[in-house]
Amino acid sequence: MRNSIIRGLTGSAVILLVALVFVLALLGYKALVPAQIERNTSNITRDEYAEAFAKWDSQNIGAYEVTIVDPKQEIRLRVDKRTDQLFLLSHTVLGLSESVDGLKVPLSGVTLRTFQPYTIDAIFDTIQQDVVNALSDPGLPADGVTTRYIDLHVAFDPTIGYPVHTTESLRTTLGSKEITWRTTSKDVEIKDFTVIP
Amino acid sequence: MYISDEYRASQQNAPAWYYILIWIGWVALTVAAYVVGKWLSDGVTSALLGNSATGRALSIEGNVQIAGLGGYAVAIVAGIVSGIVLGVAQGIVLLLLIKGSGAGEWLLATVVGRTVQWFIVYMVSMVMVGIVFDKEIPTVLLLLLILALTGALGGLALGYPQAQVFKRRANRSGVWLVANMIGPVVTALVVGMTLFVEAQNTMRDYTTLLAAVITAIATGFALLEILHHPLPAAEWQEALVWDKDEPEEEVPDTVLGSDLYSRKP
Repeated sequence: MRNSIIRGLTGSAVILLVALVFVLALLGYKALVPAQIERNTSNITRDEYAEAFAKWDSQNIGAYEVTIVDPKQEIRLRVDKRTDQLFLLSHTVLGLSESVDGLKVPLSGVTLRTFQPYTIDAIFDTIQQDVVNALSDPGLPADGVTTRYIDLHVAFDPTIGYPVHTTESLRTTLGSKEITWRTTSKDVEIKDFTVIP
Repeated sequence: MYISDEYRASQQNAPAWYYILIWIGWVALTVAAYVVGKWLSDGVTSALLGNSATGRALSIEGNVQIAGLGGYAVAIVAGIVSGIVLGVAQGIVLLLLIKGSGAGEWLLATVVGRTVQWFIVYMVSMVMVGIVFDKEIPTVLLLLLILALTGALGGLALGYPQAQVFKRRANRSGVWLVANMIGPVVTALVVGMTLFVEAQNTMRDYTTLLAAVITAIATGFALLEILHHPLPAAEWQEALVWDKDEPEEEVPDTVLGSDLYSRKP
């Protein structure tokens, strides 16, 4: 009887140690993933945004070609700011190429409205709005209320100043606060940028 | 002939309903003990923590209140309370099978096991406060793995000390570990799926009952398996022999119902 009690206690101590190692691993995971905080976050300030936009604006680039990638599609556009025209050079949706008019016909109507948000200036406008949203303080939520917070992350090109990569995640926590789910609401990357003389 | 074979031959006299009765009694008392234990532990937790608890944490079983370091001490007390209730209830069934000293040993093992189990669940729940998971397949699978591992460790924590009570009495004490892990692991996976679908644990008030029912059924079958593989030290060998003294009815030596071909006396 005594032996079984000692074996039981020893085994329980070993299981507790294994559980402690498991908890340490969980803490490691928590260190890698940003923990839930009751506010929006942004890796850039309004000043940093303004500085990047000023750098881009001061280039006075008249025309450029840009390749934009998001999780579903890849778009190559030519933007002619001098004539205020936009050309769709290629468009791939989920790996399948769509037919495009290229440089023959500039975009107009619905197509123009669809692809206009992918120009650098439009992306800057969106980021400006995102920064305002992210840096606004909604205050501490009441108990039992579902909260949604934005995490904005923007990287600018150090030379020209255009936004190389923009991600926006949404953290949703229900009133019970048992778990926070994070979903990516935006992931736009500028893969290639060429100035057209 | 092995001792277990000998025993198997002798226990043919023990009627099946007797084993069924043991199983039903075990399942009923285990489920009741889990539920009553949770109720008492919740009461003890509320009384000890008072207003210092700041909310309820995600847990695979029971009501885990978010509190500071004191919360760990309270988790141990709650585990002891829950362990006493479970140990006494299961001990009632086992009293007949492993006698008084064995039942006492069982009570001690259950209190130790259930306390460690509660402590593990509390510890993991506290670490998971404020944790963020991406709603994508790999991280959802990671969440399920974390919850299942918590369940497995919790089940092992309860099952291991209890298995030591059976170890010198039966050959199959290992099945006890597996049986004790099934309930918490399945409950943990149900909690994980609920979190994924509903974004919160809507099962929170039923997890103890779910774990109790699955654990009771699984350990009930494991108990029968253990009872069927006793070692010489097993006290239940006497308890489960039924009408052993009754002489076996003699079967006449016939060939296709005719005794013409029977051996000459």
